[in-house]
Amino acid sequence: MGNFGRKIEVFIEQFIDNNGYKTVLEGLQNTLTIAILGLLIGILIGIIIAAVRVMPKYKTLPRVLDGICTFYVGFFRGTPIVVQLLLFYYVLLPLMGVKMTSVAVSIVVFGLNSGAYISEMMRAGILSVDPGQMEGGRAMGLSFPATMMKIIIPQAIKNILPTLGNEFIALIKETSVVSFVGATDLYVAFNYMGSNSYEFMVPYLAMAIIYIILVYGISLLIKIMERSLRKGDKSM
Amino acid sequence: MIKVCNLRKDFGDVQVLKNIDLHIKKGEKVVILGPSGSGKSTLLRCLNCMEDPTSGSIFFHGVDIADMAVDINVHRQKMGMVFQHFNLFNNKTVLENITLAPIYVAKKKLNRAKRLKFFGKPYNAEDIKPLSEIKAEAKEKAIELLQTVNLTDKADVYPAMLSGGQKQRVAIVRALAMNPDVMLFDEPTSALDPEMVGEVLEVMKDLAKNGMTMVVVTHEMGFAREVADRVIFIDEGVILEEAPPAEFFTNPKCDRLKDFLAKVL
Repeated sequence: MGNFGRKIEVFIEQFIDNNGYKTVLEGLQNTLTIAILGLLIGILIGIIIAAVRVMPKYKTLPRVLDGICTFYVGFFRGTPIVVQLLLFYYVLLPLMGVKMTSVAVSIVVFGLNSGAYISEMMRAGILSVDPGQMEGGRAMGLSFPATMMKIIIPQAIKNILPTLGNEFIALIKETSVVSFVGATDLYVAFNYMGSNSYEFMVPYLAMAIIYIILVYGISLLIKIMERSLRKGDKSM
Repeated sequence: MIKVCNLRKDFGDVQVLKNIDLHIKKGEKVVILGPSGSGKSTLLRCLNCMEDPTSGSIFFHGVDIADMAVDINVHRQKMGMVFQHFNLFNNKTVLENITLAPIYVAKKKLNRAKRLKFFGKPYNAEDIKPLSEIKAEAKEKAIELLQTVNLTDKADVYPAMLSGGQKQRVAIVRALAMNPDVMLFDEPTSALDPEMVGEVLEVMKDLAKNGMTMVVVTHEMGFAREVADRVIFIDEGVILEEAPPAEFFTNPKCDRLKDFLAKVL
């Protein structure tokens, strides 16, 4: 441990004098952007898929949509996120002739991926809401989608908020694979500092600490949100 | 107003309703009685297609609402329904519970009128008004209705904080906010504490006095005797007896009804 002080000195030199902090800030920004936007896209997709899956299936259209959703969820849960990133970036985009930055690609892929997972959580959340709520809405003459959006989904989200928080935390950590398509995230930033000085110990330690702080902050935020969403409950 | 022709409803292999014919006139109060599992709730729920009939027709204002091609939501807006378990929206305050559907409908009309106007087609000018006005109108009406059931002080409270009787009164008011042509009651007092049954029945009696068309599934014999124009006895999916309450309770014809009345009275 004698040279630990020396390692910290090297790290600080890298961090401040060699503009390491700029890369770290960029990495932090990208990590958060990908995770937050990915989560939002995921929630949106999740809600739509979950609503389709719980729809009454007398008619053909809901059945077709259900089939599509099953395939979608099967694909995104059945392949690793790295594979999806690589497929999207190196296969799909060139085939379509579209140019996107690696961060944008990561956002899309993380959104599509978490959408598959969130759809199942959301479905559980919807099923946990008393069926009488749907009956109440439909009996008033509200359509199925309108009742879903105004009555069921808000209650479902409240019920699954802790799980949704888990998903967000998982997303933050999973973003460490976006370097596969060349996006700068926290891992890339600290790795860069390490390779510059051939000293990896402190950068990687600092990286772990930043992840922990991020996740802790998010857990706090979720707790606050949960409390404000529970205002309709009895325990007030 | 509501005409049921040859209604049949199956749940899987079980035939719950068998060829039901029923005619409910405007202003009439019909009470449906029957042992549990007789199909009385199912019959009521078929009237506004909460359960889709397996076969047969249900005419509401002359339109067959059992037809899947009909936009059922439009017709349900004119058929208020009150449930055994209230089914108030837990994530909305009492006031929001009542104004939700009226605002939703007014907004739909507004958007439709705007669309028609945009394409230069004839539209109802009354439908075009600012959103704030729609909300204010709905709120005013809701407060007015809450006054009739003495619950104005609970307007901003969530349903979880109301007693069963209060919840059911709000549920009735919520249905009334749509100005329905008929009110369907599915065992409105069965989930209530005995001391709260009275306050809900009171509201229903007032409603009856004001000439509302009502179809009520209940176990409250007193209510049936006092309010009903016609009492229907149903068992095993068949209407066994249909008579004004005086005759129904004092001079039952079929044995099954005699047996039933002997047990409940």
